[in-house]
Amino acid sequence: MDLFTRVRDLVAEVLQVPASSLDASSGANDVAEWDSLQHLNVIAVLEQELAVRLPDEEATSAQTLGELVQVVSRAKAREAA
Amino acid sequence: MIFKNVRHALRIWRSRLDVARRFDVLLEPAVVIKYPEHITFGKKCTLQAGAYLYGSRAGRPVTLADFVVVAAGATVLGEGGVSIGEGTHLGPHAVVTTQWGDPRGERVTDTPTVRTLPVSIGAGCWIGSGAVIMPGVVLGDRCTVGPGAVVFGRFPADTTLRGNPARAIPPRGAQRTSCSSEGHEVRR
Repeated sequence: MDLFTRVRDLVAEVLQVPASSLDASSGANDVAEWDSLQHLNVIAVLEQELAVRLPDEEATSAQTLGELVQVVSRAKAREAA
Repeated sequence: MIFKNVRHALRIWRSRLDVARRFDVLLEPAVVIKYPEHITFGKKCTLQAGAYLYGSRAGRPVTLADFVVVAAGATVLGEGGVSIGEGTHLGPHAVVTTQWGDPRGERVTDTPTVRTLPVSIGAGCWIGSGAVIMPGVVLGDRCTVGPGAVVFGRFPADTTLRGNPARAIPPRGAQRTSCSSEGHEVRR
């Protein structure tokens, strides 16, 4: 399973929406369930499930699913280095 | 049980005393300060009646710069670390929180898992009554947050935010203006 799909499935699980309803541009602006508290929960679940520490600034700045995937990808690359 | 509560009241009273001795801060009645060890105040700060200030047990700094006002009933939960800039005013019953419950942590326990992110609020900000500043928020200097707004994210200096979720609204100078029949300028 690629990283995008993994992150999308976890975000969908937190927001309790169908994974198929989310794409890279999905975010708080167009997904009603994606509010500020759920964004924090998304960060927590991504860190736990993907065993990665997301930098505070990047994690809270990410506005869309695609940006979140990039944040996770960069964090994983840093930790692997 | 009574002794447990007496001890707790004594700890809070000592925290107030500790802060009043160390800093130039006005503490009105019913202010509650917990875990003051890593809390610092600039000069002439005011905590109005009923304000609740919770420091960080993990040792993260909670810093209120000069002339900060925490109005009546406002709350600062500083477990993740908080920085509030010079002259910033938290309105009545505003909440600054750095913590939230871990969505997958144990819930039915006396020690629930709590996650934290630091909050930074710049100088000269006005935080409206009942507004909520969520974990991880960064506000630049001179931001204005409307009453009841729920703020999440990072916003540059001079941003005005309203609503839930809070959105930036255009600066006043960018709004259209016209003249009424009496010749007075009218903002729309």
